[in-house]
Amino acid sequence: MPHQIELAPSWKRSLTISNPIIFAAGGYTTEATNIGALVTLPTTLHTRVGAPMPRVIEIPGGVLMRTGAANPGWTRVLREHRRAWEQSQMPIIVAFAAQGAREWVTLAAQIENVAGIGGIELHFNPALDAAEAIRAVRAATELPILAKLDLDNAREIAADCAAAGANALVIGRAPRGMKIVDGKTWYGRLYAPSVLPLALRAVAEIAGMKLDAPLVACGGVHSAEDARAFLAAGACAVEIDSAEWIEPGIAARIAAELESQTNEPR
Amino acid sequence: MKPYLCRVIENRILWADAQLLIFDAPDPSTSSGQGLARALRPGQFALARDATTREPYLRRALWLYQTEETRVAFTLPAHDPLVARVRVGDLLDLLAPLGRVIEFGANARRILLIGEGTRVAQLIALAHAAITQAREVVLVNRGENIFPAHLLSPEIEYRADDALSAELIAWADAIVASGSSELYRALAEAIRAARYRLEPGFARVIVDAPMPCGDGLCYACAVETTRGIKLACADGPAFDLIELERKH
Repeated sequence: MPHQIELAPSWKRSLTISNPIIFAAGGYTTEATNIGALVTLPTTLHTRVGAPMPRVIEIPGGVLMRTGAANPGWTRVLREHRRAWEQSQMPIIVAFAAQGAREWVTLAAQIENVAGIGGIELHFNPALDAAEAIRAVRAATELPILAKLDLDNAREIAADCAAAGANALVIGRAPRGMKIVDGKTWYGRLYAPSVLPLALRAVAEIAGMKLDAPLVACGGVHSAEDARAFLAAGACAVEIDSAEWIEPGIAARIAAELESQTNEPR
Repeated sequence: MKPYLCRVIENRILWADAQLLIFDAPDPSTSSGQGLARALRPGQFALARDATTREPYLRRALWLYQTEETRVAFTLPAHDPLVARVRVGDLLDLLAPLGRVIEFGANARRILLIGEGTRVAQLIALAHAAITQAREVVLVNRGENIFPAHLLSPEIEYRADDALSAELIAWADAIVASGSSELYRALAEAIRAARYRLEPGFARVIVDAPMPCGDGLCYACAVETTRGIKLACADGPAFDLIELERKH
């Protein structure tokens, strides 16, 4: 396992991480110091109140969540976290909630020169024209772009996203599910260990396409063994999301475990 | 927020659909149960999980009910899947303290607490703390599933009453309520009727939303307030009623 992992190879701005584990559980900062990078909570230009309650529906072995991209909005986020980002030893990757190209271009321009920010992660859903949006954001910023694709259609659009200028592909967003609640349909994204085999297959298949963009895996990781499975399937880095809600500090522990494995004498 | 590994010494119905989980006998390798008892204050909560399983997946919110020297009692809904799983003697992994403490100013001598159904259990620790601070406390239980009065300190005046008494609202120096958004709307109206206006800081209400992370990460418990987006887990779970009711 390499000590330095480049997520934007051959691009004018480098995005190098020193550990394959990326904290992607939300929030804007982390106390972990040994992880590769932090991906922020998906953020929008303006405050978003989010979806009406309930936003969380539990199912056996996992949870369906629909936050509606609740977040404080970029102005407040920047005001509250700029100093911490400037001092961060790891790159901060600002996630853009799935709002589409027009808002993303505006946000990208505002983020371009904020110290500490190493890249942006665009969150797609199947309703967005991913390639067109990536081209628009690419034209607006030199920051490395990570395109986080929906597991539902990641295989179909991965090649177009790489060709459009995404520096790395994140495979992928939590799969969308449904539950009947009091006779009504309720949609949310599934966070659970059971997401791992779905994401693992998608990563392996997209890795087989030999695209000109490194792959970052995301989905259901709860252990170093899970992370190693993604790395073996072709990912160069792994995002940790809901596991951190259950076991705070797990991203740092997995990062340490992978690091110690790297340092073992062969 | 710190992790605690604590042993369950009781798991029983408190009353109606409210369960009581009591912890003691800490694992010596982690923070002690005594530390947990000292760390928790009224208004705060813990998130618990059985580390031997991922079922249920999310941590469960445990509401502080009572603390003694090395024992901490929490309530949670009796139908919560954790309740059926946990046996006396089990070790549970707790994160605590979470949320902001509910405190009263020195001039708040008369405290009115209003709980809806079993949500009144979230106010019991607060009621007893207020009594030890030599404040007068009236606890009103609305709806069905009335809290058993014998479990309360005799200094607490207890009423089972669906009405929001104008007399009590006028009497109180501070109010804390736990219940539905309908209760909170009605409470705001009743306060304005009884006191002509709703002053900032006079009434606080508990937002009991699912809090998957408990640490402000996931934003599943985001609440719109007049001061912008706030989080039930980190900024609450009690909010000034005036900040909420203008937005809901």
